[in-house]
Amino acid sequence: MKHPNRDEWAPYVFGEAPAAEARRLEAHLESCEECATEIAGWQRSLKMLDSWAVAPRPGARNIVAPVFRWAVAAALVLAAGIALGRMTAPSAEAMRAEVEASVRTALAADLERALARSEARLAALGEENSRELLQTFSETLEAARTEDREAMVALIQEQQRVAEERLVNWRRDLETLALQTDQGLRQARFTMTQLAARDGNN
Amino acid sequence: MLRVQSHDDHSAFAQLVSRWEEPIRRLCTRMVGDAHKGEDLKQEAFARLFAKRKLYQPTARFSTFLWRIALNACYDELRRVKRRAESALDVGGAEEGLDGMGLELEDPHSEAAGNEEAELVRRALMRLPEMYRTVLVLRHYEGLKLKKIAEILEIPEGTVNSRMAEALAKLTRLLEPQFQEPKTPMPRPREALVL
Repeated sequence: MKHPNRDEWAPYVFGEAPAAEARRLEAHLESCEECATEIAGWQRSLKMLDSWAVAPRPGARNIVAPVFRWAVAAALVLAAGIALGRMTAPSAEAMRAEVEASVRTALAADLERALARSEARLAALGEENSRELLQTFSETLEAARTEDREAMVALIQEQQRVAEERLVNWRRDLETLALQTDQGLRQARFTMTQLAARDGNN
Repeated sequence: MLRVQSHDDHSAFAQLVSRWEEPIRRLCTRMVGDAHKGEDLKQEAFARLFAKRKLYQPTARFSTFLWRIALNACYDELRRVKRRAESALDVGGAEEGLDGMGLELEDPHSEAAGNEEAELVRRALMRLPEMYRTVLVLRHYEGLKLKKIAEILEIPEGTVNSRMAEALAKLTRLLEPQFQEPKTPMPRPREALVL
């Protein structure tokens, strides 16, 4: 029996042989125990090679895989929840009416609370503003009073100074007048004395 | 690759690395039989790729260029190991296999350690000569067609076929005792070893 060349078996074993070639080799295997044994051995060896797997890099496996697993688990739980909810839910119309009423009540209560809060806030704001204005007014008034008082004191002091100055001047004038009067009297007395003496001599 | 070649575009190169690092790491790991060395050789292969980017001809497929660079990095490492082993043990080159090449046939850090069948496969592959191991790894583990392997190795397709036949024959001889042993102690291919 003529056996095929060994290298003809390689494409056949890996499924790359053309169809006609593959049929020819298969036919030979059916009739040749020697070749069939050898090729079966090759195929067992190839199968055994699969046991040596090289893992992906640790970084990619440790980070991505758990995240993916958790995502899948979360999706499954969510889907189960939705399905359960749909199965146990009341009719859509009743649910809608109930939800609508509930939402209206809740909205009204919320609105009232919001209004009350706004009013209280405004009142508090007005009171606070008034207090501030009063405080400002008081401060301004006090400042004006102080300024007036200081101006008054300054004016009085000025008047006093002027009066004193005038008094000094008057006194000086009086003293000058008194001195001049005294001198006039002395001169008159002297003149009278001289006249008297002249009359006596005559 | 063209952007890397013409503009030294680092982001384009990062994309290439991201796309190809896993296949290249697997190839290198299986060619040298060690996961740590495989990782180092992957880095070496991409460093060489960047250094040789100007040599890439756009007429050829990029993957062919990259597989070739990675394989050359593996061959260089295997030769380094062989030289070290020869100088240490003063042993001549073995005609076949890695018995005299100093590759860690009993590597305790092997990524196949812990799974008996995987370890047997790893050791059997390491005993095959490089040229046979190369065609087996590229075809069986990386799923490349025989024609593509011929293109990468720059040899005729018929040569790839004959190397593949020889590789399968040798591998079967190495693994055959396992086929005849009772299956009790041997873990069946229940699950692929993940290391």
